[in-house]
Amino acid sequence: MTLVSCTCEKEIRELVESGQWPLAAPPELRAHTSSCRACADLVLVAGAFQRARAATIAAAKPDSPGAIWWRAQLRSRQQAFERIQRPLMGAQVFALVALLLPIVGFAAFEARNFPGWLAWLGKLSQSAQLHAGDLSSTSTSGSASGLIFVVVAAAAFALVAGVAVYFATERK
Amino acid sequence: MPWDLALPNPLAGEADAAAEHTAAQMDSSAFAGFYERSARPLWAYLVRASCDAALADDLMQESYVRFLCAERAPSLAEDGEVAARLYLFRIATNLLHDHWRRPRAASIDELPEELFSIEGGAAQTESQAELGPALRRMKPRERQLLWLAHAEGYSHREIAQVTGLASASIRLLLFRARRKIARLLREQQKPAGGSQ
Repeated sequence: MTLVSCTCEKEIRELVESGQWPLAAPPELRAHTSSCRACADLVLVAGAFQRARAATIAAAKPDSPGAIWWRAQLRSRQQAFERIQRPLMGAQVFALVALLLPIVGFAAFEARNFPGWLAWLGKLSQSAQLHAGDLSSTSTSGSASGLIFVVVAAAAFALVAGVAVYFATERK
Repeated sequence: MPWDLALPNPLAGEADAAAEHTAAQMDSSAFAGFYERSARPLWAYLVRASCDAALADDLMQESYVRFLCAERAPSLAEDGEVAARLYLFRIATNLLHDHWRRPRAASIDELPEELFSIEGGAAQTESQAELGPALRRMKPRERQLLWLAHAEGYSHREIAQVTGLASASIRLLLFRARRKIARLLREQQKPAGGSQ
């Protein structure tokens, strides 16, 4: 379809949109629309749309603005709360990772003592009477105290890391 | 205990402040005035573009809520009412597109006309049957372009802002749509003229 534009379109459009067509239109412009298809289409379509707009606007029954304002307030607050929670979630994930990494590292480091642990567990199950003294005298007591130390250090690190990330992240 | 429960007061305060940051761009009285001036034209646009009065009601409410919640929404005081209204119409247009895309994962131009032609609603409330039948035979995008250009009187640049289309292509799309609906309107007028 070839785009055919006419120099009279702007003037005709203004007259139709202002409701002055055809009464206020010059006779030569009215005569022009009978010979120019683009302008004839414009008069027909723009007039129909203007009348339809007036009818539709008259039929509109909008809600009260207060209800919409209230809904928008609720949603804004919800969105703001979600934005604020995002850095908190990041800090929690970081803290969890920071806690798990030393534990995994310690487990890997202590893997060489695994046969010793198994032997200790076997001895523990075979023992009918378990005394506290036996526990302290086993060879893994050093590993147990090391494990406690690492867990406490990891927890402290994770706490500090989480708080640091929380404060480092820009919040709105 | 979760962190959000451990720190309720500071978080609640920040959420309130952030919420006010978006909503406070327009106070409630200014919004009421803007709403009174723009709600009816927006509803008319939505009902004519969708051919569904109930859908137009829903989308109009959602458009205003999103407008008020948007951080980048133009403010009435600084950007003026025209910019605010264009932004509002853009939100409504995007919501219409989202609605049309939802049933099927296809471009709105590929969807059949019957999907958009819902009887009742707008057709029943239509005080004059002049434009309705022809408009329902147009594609959704054509209805939008025609309404924005000839009912709202927007320029090609403003229509491009509302629809997200390139400003250069608006002219051709609008020309085709106008020619098509003019033909439909003439066909519609012929039997009426012949019966008299």
